[in-house]
Amino acid sequence: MALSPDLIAILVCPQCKGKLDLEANEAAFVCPACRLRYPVREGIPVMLVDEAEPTS
Amino acid sequence: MTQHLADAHQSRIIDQFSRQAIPFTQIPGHYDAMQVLIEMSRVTKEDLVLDVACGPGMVACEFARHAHHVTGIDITPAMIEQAEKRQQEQNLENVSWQIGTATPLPFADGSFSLVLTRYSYHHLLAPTEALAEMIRVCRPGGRVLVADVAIESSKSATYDRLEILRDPSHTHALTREEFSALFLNSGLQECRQSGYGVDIELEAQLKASFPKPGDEEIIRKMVTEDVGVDSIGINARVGDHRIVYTVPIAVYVGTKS
Repeated sequence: MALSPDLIAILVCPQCKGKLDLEANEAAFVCPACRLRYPVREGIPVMLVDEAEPTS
Repeated sequence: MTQHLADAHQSRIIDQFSRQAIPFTQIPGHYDAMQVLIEMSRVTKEDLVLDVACGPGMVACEFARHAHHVTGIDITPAMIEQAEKRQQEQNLENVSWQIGTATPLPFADGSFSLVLTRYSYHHLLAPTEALAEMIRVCRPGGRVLVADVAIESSKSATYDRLEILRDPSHTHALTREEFSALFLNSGLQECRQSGYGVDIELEAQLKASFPKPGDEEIIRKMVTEDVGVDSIGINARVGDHRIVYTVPIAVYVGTKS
């Protein structure tokens, strides 16, 4: 299921509260400031700093 | 609180609620008094609602019938799975889910018009910070509502001891005084309070709980011996040859200025 535009607009990085970028395939939200990638698993964003992956 | 202790506590919450994901939804008492939350929150079809620590989505799905949209967030993936299942069974389209913490919340300031949480504060390590986060993501003029156990202060320590035995992710049930102070010091305006009791049958509750080995008998003894004494503050009594008790719930709501 596609993520709702309303949800995309309000989600922020839990670490810095900064704006997130959504990957084109909606597989993850990326925080450019923290260089962290928050995965979207089966349509559910996993907004946990502990489970975020560092971006290269 | 060190990071290590905070991480260990977070693990206890996920462990307990992964096990509780199904039994929790099956306790009839948890359907009681939803109407109190609906009325206290004054939810309308215009509202964008956030349910913090939404668990298996009972409150979120009920509020979805009265609101424009509801977002539910919980740290336990097994709970979000149950919530999605409930949403699908009820054919609700105006609900979305996230996995995340209560502190911090991964939402921009002022994202919602009604922010609520039920039965979560007794699992939190920092209720003041959690309330501040709920207020941050609420827009000015919106409402923030917390419903949770509120124990008489003289009985609080005994109640906490019982609950930590039954559910190791329990931290501290706020006393009525602590609950009032939390709201009065929060900056929220026009605070209102209500309450209700959740009747629980001891053996049914034990079946839905996952205490450490050996602790079940201690819990049974503590509650049974409290009949007619009420040192725990839950009015333990015998009804229909069973031990039943009533957990007092307080509901607080305030408006963000």
